[in-house]
Amino acid sequence: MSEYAQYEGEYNDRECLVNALVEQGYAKEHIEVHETPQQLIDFQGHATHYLDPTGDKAEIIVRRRNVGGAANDLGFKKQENGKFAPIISRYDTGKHNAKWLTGLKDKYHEQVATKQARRMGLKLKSRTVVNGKVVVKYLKA
Amino acid sequence: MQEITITIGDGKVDVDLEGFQGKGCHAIQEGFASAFAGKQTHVTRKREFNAPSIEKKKLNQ
Repeated sequence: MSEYAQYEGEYNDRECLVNALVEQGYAKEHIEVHETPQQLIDFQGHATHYLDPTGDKAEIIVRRRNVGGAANDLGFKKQENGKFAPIISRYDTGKHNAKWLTGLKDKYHEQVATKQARRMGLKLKSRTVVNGKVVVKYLKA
Repeated sequence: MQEITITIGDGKVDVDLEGFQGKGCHAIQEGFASAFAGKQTHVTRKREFNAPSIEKKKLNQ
């Protein structure tokens, strides 16, 4: 039941991903960020080897005690293409389900938009929510 | 002042540069496309200023 599954990598900005995880409810101090991937641990405290015979590892980790209940670590592993892919145990797909992942992606996209707009010197005009979608308007002089 | 509208939802992004013109447009478009770097991203520039619209073509026919 605690077998891990790796999803498609879509996150290429580490800072924006961490901020998106915070907006999804995880405290920043509970999100580990490592330069080199670290071992993921299951709900019984054992190192897991579901995706990698040498041990399932990730650079961004929320430890099981902060995920809640009898959870396993939640990880995001950097792929060869530079994008981070979520590693979620099947046991925890009730919490980290498709809806949660879509919400994370939306939060990530808003973080990226904000960062890119700042980088290009754009000025925020408005931020509204229309039919469940976030609409952000920027102005360029 | 020129306006850029970004719509985020359902795991997708739409960057709308309608009404945006000038050489800065391409840089803005490239900047957002590069930043999002995902297949879920959609960058549009709805109005092509040098091309007649389909409606105009029909009227001329």
